[in-house]
Amino acid sequence: MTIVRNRWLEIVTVAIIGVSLFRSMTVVADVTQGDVQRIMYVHVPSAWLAFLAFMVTMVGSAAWLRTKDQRWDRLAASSAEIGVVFTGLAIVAGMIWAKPVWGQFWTWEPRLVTTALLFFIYLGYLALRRAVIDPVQRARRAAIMGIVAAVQIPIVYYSVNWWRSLHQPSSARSIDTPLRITLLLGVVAFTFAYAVLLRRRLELARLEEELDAKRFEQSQSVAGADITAPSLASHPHD
Amino acid sequence: MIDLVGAQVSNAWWYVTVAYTVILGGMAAFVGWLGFRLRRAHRELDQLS
Repeated sequence: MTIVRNRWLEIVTVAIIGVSLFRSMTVVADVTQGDVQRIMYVHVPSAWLAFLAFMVTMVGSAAWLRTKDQRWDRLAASSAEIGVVFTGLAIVAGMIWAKPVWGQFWTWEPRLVTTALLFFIYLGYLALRRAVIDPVQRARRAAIMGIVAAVQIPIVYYSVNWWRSLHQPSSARSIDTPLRITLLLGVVAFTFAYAVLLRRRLELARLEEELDAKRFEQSQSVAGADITAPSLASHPHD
Repeated sequence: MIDLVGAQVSNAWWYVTVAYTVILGGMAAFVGWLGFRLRRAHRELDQLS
């Protein structure tokens, strides 16, 4: 019972993902594309999860700039990492879907290009975080980038309307009810998955901060000992 | 020239299987990587304290 109490979110998430997968495989096939359209039930939820993650990064970034509370920085960083992983997965699943439908894995059309840009912008965000050592400087620079980068989210979302090209527009309203329910179930399942991943990633961020603080503390005490109390005893070979 | 409306391909399930494997496998790999980093962080914290 303790496991159920501690892991209820994980258990519910696995169950919903299972139901969603079963539904994705058994729902009636699309009349135009046939079975290959089933890729939509993981491709769209992956993209949704990435958007959600980057929006949370933006909120966390704005909240850090306002409060300077390190917990908001942790939230922004953790969410961005999840977003980058799922943007990558959505791109790869989209490429696999594109091959039978468009005849090629990749084409330089607006939705694909803007999504690739989104991926590289947030990869840059993660790189920026690794490049700055001072936690306050890192949080400030990352927060500014976390807000500016969010401009790319609506650009990706509306790219299919602004520059009408190969990629189909949003299907959520236009598809038949059984397909829409399956898609929404996938979106719910991936939202739960996001919550699970974020919880784990936040725990990791908290531990890494604790580790950095401990390492800094130890390096200070070693440096302090050398400066304040030089002793021959510390050099046994002299 | 790209064929806009894809004809129903005969090996559709192959593409579906690969796409689902990529997404679910990617998700599982990320969970595993997070678990590994969590365990390593716990171990290093134990060593430092």
